[in-house]
Amino acid sequence: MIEPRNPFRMQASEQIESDITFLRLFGPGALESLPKEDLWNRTIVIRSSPGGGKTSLLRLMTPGALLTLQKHRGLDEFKELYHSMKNLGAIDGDGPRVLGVLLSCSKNFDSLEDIEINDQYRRRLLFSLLDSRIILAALRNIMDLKRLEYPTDLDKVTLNLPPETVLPQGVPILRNGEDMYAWACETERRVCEIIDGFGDIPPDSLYGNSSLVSPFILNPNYLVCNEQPVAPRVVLMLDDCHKLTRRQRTSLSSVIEVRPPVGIWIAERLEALSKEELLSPGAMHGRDVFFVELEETWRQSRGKKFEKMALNIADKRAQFASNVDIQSFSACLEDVLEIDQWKKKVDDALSAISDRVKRRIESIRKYDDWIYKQGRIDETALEKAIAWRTLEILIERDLRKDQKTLTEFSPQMDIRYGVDELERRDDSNVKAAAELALSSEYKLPYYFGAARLANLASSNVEQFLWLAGCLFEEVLSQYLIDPQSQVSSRREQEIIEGAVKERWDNIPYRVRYGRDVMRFLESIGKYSRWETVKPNAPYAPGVTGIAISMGDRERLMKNGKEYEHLGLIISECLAHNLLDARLDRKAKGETWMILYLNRMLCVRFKLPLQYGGWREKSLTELSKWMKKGYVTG
Amino acid sequence: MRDDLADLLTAKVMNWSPEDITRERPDLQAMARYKYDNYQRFFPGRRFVESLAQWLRQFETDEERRTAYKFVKSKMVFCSEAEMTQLVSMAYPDRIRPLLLKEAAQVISCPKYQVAKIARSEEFRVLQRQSLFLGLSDGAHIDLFRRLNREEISHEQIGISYDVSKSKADEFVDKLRKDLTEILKRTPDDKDCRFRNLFLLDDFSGSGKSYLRRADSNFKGKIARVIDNIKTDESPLSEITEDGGLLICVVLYMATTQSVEHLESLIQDLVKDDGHRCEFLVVQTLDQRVKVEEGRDGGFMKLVEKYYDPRIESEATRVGGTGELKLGFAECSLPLVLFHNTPNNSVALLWSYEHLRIRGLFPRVTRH
Repeated sequence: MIEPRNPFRMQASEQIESDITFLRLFGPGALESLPKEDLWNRTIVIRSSPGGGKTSLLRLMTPGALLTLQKHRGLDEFKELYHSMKNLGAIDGDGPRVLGVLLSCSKNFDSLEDIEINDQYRRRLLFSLLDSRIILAALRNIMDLKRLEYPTDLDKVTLNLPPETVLPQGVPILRNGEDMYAWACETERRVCEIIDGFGDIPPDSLYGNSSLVSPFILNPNYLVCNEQPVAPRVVLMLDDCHKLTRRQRTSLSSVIEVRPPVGIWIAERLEALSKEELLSPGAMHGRDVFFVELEETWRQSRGKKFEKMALNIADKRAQFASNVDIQSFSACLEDVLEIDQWKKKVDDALSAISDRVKRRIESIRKYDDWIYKQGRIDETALEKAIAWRTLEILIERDLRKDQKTLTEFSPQMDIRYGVDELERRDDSNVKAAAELALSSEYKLPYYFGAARLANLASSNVEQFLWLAGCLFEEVLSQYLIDPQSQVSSRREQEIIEGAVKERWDNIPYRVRYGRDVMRFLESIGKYSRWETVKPNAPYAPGVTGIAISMGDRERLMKNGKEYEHLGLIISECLAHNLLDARLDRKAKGETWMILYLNRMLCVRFKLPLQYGGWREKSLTELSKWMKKGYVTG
Repeated sequence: MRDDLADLLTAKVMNWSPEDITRERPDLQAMARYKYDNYQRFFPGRRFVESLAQWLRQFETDEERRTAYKFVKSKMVFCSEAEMTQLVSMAYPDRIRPLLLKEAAQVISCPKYQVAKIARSEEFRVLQRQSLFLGLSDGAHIDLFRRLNREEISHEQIGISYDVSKSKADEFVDKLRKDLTEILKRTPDDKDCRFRNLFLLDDFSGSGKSYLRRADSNFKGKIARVIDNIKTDESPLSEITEDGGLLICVVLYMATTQSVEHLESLIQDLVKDDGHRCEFLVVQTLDQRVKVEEGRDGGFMKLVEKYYDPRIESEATRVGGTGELKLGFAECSLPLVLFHNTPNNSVALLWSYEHLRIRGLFPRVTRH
């Protein structure tokens, strides 16, 4: 394998051929998204936008990955992963405890829809094709797990079906691996012949099974190899289910209802969901089905778990780069403004802001204690500048209040705000707003550092790797000249801005209704910026999203003509992680669905990365934005 | 040289900042990996980025280096082995077979768009079998041509060289007779057992002059030699090809328009008295826009003028008609590199020999 110069560009699990490389680059934190209970006996639907990490999770359960992990469990770099997998019950000292059967649904299945036959027959062909491919995948994986030769050693596999088992008509008696192989090959061949055929299909040549048989055949109690059980557990993993048509996915879900004796994991992109499903994120788990929405799972811990996992992955990738000795990715990035480089600007900013504040409240005595306190802060120039800017916001808020003070009624009364009042009003959100405003006004870097990079990923692994990969290219360039150097905050921001622009410009090519999506997002972004830069920072640290009432959400889901296209645009944004939705948020006596911008887009519109600030909007206004864009004010 | 050292050398030569390295390095490494590292005339251990660094180091100023680097990135044309294979694979189905179909259509008086009908006809199959394919040089990749077209063309109608021996010629005819018997379902006449089409294959022509040129009142070059052979009664080739009405087709996998124009202008004179016909088929044409020119590439042309070692010239190169080789043989002025050897039709700055004062980016090994 050619050693990669920039391992961050090895993005998709499918591209990493070697199991050991895959394991080396896999962040164990990703396993936290899986349910802790009943992992192997139920149906789990894993969803995300592209690049969320679904296929990586599935691949981890395949024999190749498990055997490699078992073999290398003594090495430091694999210990954490090994222990995590052991805790899940996937592996132990004796070896893999699960037979993971991985099948991608990306090939041919959708072609069944083009055949001119009735629905019943089409369903039968779907199940037959699925059965044949699942069985073939299972046999291959059994051979891998037992380190046997495929298909030569299939005679070593025995299928001990109970005598009372009744298989569907057309399915022959299956006693061993060879029988299963022959049946699966023949079935696949016949179905593919029908797909590839040009002529009419005779109506009486009804071929195929009316239900999915393979999950029942692959019962771990029935499968034996060399007179030993194959594995205590079997999990059937169907990847790329978004490539199936809606009808096919419905047919598949009917199988789940019958509660097969093996675990079934289904991985699909959010784009496969209907508008109604997308507008209802965080679906309820059923008795039989557990839904995992990867990005949503990561967001639940305020992003901390994702940050930890992402930076862990980044370190692994950095260590994997050829011709460089880099152990920590984060250490290659500046995470504070370098004092010497920015001293003059920060000093100028401090001086200008403090003068500005003092001029603003020249004749107003009530802030005297606040001003006095500010002048006594013993911190760095940057921290002082942020503190002054924070004070500026708080004063502006106070000055805009409608409520009159006693002093205005009775000037003899000299009311002053104490320092404790300042401390009460001064919180992290206002400070964050101040920092952003300061950076914006004085062109100081803001989007830099490993923690902010993880935030920018909006809980999507692929997005993180894309941004980190762009930064790592600079790390490599710097390393070439001086291995001890770090990427400066200025350069980090430039690179991130460039990467974000590239992603933004690509939206029309990646997303349906791309131009409308861009216009819509741009409207949200510009509006958010307009709200964020208000002198009193009313929604500190800033507005990064909009909200519609839950009632309006219902109207969108009902497919009314009036907002049909708006509903589609919002669905596309959700499917591609350009917006992320939070349901049932209570505010102002109502409940809302908040649509936050992807954090990467916050860079484009110079917005903060924290969640929190949002503004309610009507469907009419959003519709206007979508068609015509946003006009400031 | 190790990749990172080569990258560092290039960065130092070009005086790049880390930002420049970030921008350029992925492109350079991608280009190198994709094809440039596979240039077959690098000496062992050397690869593209190192060669580039050494080449750029020859220029005196940063401005010159930037101009040269820009030329490499945006103007230079490199034909890799895979790409050449692709051209070879296209030669028969996309160029030769359509010609044979057109010929057969005339024989059976069928509209030329009725391709399936023509291809099924006995006349087409006979015409196809009565075609002889000969290589004009190693670059013809005859072995590859043979393998890629084994479904359509028999082993027995393909020869490595245009210099056909008597025994080989007899073998060609014997096999032809046998195959025609099977096609015609009868014993063919002697006149049937002669090749009506002669295809001469080669990889590249820049000026056409090595194939055919006037020298005093004679013609010289490979094609001239072949036609001479055809006209000479005792030569094996003349005994196995049709006496009059032979179709001589030169098939080039890659050629400039300059070359084709040159060959077309001369070849009719060569065959006009014998009743033979000539065609030129080119799989990949390089037209005028490819050339390095003052108007488009003024900056690089200055480097071409300035950085030149006249010891690059030889007797063989003077055949091109010009003494200097700054713009390449016959002033073809190409920016072309072929994976196995840079043609001397390209500007000298690209292919100048290793041992000279000015060393090329893809140094050439001379065949003369």
